[in-house]
Amino acid sequence: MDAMSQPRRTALQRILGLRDFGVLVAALLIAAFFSIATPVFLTSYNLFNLLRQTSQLGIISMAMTLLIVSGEFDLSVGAIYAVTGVVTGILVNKLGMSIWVSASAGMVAGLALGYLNGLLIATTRINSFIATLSTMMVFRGLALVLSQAQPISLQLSFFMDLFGRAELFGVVPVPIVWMLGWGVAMYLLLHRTAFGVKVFATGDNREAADLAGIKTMRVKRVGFLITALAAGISAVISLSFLKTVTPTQGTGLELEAIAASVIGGTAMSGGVGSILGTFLGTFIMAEVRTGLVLLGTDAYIQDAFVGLVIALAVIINVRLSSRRK
Amino acid sequence: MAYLRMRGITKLYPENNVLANADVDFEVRRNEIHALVGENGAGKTTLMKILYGLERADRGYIELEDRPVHISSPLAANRLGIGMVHQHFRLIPEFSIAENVVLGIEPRRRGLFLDREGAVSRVRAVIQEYGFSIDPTLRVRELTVGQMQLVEILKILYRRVQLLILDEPTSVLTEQQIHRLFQTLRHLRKIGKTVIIITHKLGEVKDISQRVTVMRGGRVVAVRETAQVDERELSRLMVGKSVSLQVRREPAARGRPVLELEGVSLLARGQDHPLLDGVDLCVHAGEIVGVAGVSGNGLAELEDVASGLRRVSSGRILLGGRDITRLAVRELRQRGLAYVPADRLHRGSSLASSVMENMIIASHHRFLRGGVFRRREVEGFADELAANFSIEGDPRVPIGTLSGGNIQKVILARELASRTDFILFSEPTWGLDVASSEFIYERLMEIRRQGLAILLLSSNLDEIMSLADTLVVMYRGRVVACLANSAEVTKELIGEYMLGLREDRS
Repeated sequence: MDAMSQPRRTALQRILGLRDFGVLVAALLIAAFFSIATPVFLTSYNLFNLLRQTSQLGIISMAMTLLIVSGEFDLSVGAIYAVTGVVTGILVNKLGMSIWVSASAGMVAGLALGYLNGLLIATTRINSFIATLSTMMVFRGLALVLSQAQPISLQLSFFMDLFGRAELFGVVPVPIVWMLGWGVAMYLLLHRTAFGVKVFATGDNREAADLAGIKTMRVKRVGFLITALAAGISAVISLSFLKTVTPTQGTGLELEAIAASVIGGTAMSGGVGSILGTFLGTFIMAEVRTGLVLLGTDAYIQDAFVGLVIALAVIINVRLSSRRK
Repeated sequence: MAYLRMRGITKLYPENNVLANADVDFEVRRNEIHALVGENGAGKTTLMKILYGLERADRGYIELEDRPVHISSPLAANRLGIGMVHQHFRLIPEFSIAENVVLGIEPRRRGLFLDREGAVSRVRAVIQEYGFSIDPTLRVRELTVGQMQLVEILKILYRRVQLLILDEPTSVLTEQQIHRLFQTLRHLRKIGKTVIIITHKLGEVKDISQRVTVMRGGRVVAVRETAQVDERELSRLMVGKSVSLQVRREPAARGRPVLELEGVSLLARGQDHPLLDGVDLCVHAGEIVGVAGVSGNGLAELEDVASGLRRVSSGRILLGGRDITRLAVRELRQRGLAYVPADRLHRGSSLASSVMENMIIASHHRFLRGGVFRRREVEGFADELAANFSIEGDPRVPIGTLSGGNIQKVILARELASRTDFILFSEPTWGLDVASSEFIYERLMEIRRQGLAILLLSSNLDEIMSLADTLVVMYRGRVVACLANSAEVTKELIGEYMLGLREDRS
C-alpha cells in the first residue's frame, strides 16, 4: 500500500539508536568519573576484581532478562541459589560424595525448583511476582531446614580451582570466564534463535504470539528453568571461591538481578531487553559499588547510591522509549 | 459452485444470553469479494470468528470446496487456506515487518538459529510477488496504520492463504489508505484469491464487492448481487422496519439552555482525522436530545468529553451558561453533572463494592462526620433509594451479584439522588431485558417532566426515536443532522444520515 518513503538510516544513526549504546555510554562515563577521582580504579587488578565479584550476579541477571522479556519475574532465584549450595555441601560433607556428583545434584535440585515455579504459574495463572515471592520464602526455608541454619565448609580441590579460584593466564579469574561463556550462550539464545523470537513475541504481545501458534506458556516455563540453571551455576562458582556455603547466601540477589536488567534497558512490561544491556547494567552496579569503596565512602551509603543509579537509568529509559514511539 | 458454505450456524453467548448467530447460512463464491454488512451487534464478527476457529458454533457446519471441514483454531484455519485480518491489529511492535510476518513459522538455520536474512528475503519475495512496496526491515512500531494493515495482509499471504477475511479494515484508515487497500484487494481477486470484507459503510460495499450479505439481529436478512442493489435499499435492510416502543411522550416544555457544546473538537495521536470535529450541540431544560450514530463515528468520544473524562482539543462546553471546559470531574459533579455511562460494569460501578457503597460513591462526603461514615444514615439512604427504584435484594451485597437491570437502576438512583439539572445517558438500556428497559424509559420521561436537560447517546435507533425531542446524528465525528423529532422523521431517514448517505450542511 504505502510506498517506502523513509530513507534507510545511516550507520551512525543506527548505532546511536541502539538502546545498548546509551547504557555503554553511561558505563564509560561512570568509569571515567571514578578513574579521575581515584587512581586505583583504572587498574587491571581492580577491574578484574570488580568483574569477578559481579560474575555471579551477572549470570543470574542475564537469565532474569530473558524471563522478564517473556513477561515474567523470578524472585526465588536467590533462594534457589542457596538451595543449590546447601544441597551440594550436605552431599559432600554428610554423605561423603564427590564434589562433582554433589554439585550436579545441587544443580538438578535447583532446576527442579525452577520447574516448580513454572508449573505453579502455568496451572494457577497467578502473577509470577506473587508466586515466586511465596516460593522464594519456601525455598529459603528449605535451605535453612536442610542445613540446620549452619554454614558448611568444604575442602579445597581441583573442582574449586576450575569453577572459582584459578586464574586464566595467571590474570583472569575463572568466574569471569564462566560469566562471559554464559553471556554468549544467553546472547545467542535470546537474540539469534527462533526460541528467542518467541520470548520477545510472548512478552510484547501475548495475544498475537498465541495467534501465531506460539505456545507462550511453554516459553515462560523454559524461562523459569533458565533462571534456575543460572542460579545453580552461580552457586557453584560461589562455593568454589569461598569454600563454604551458607543457607542465607544470595539474599536480595533477585532484586539486584532485576535492577541490573532494568539499568540495562529491559522493560518491566516485557518484550524489550538485551543481554548485552544487562551485562553492562551489572557492570554499572559493580562500578558504582567498587568506586564508592575506593573513594572511602561509608559502606552504608552505597546502597543508597545504587538506588539512585537505578532510578536514573529507568527515567532515562522511559524518556528514550517514549521519544521513539 | 460455492467455495465456502456455512450452514445453520448458531451461537449463543451464555454470559449475557445473547444469540449472536441464529441459524445463519452464508455462502461465498470462489474468486469474489464478498461484503458482509450489518449494524453493530448484528453478528458479523461472530460469524467470521467461527469461520476462523476463534469461536466454536453451538450448531451448524462449514464446507470448503464441498468438503465438510472442522475448524478448531486459527492454525487449523490457516492450514485450510483461511486467513483473517482483525479489526485491532495483532502485531508485535518491537519486531520488524519481516519478523512479524514469519512469526510462528520462522526460517531457521541448522534447526535452531533464526535465519534473519532468510526471513527478510522471503518476505521481500512475497512483497514483490504481490506488487507491494514496503521495506521488510522496518520496525512495526514506526509504521502508519495503513502500513500495519498491509503487514497483517502480508502475514496471511505469506501463509499461502486463499480466502482472506478482513474485519472492518477501513475503520482506522484515511481516504487515500482506503483507496490503496481497495486496489490491493482488487489485485488479490485478480490473481485468484477470495475476500470477505466486513463493513458497515455502504459506499464501500458498492465500491469493492461483487456480492453482499446483510445481517441483522444475528440473522441473515438478504444476499444480493452488489450491482443490483442500491445504498438506500441496503440501509433499509440493515436497520429494519420501525418497531415503535410504547412510550407516552408529552410535548416538550423546552426551557433555558443547560448544556451547550460550541465547536468541540477532539484530536488523538495516531489518528489523522479528528474523533470529534467541530461539534455544536445544545440541550435545553426539559428536553431530551438523542444522539445516534454507528460506533466509531464519535458517540463514545462525545460521552467522554461531556462527562469530563477527556479534555477537548478545541471548543467550549458550557453548563448553565458557565464555561466548564477545563474543570475536573469532581468540580463538574459539584456543579450538578449526572452521568449514566455505557459501560455500567466498569465505569458506572465498582463491582466488588456493595450496592450501598456504590450508591454513595458520588456523594459520600455528605455522610461523613469527622472523617468517619455515619453508618445509620448511609443505610437509611440506601434503603430509601432501593425502595424508590424498586431495586431488589440486600444493599449490603456486592453490586456485581445483581442482574444488569438492577445494576443500572442502582446507577440511575445514585445519579438522580444528588441535585442536578443535567444528565448524560449513554446506551441506557443496552443488554437489558424489556421490563428493566421500560422502567428506565419511564424514569427518563419523569425527569424530563421535572425539567432536567437530558443528553441521550444510543446506538438503538428505536430507543432514540421514541424518546428524544431532538434528534442528532453523528458521522465521522461531525454532526450531520439535527432535527426536531416528528412523525415525518423516519428510521430510514436517520439510517441514511448514520451511514453517511445524507448530510445537512450547517
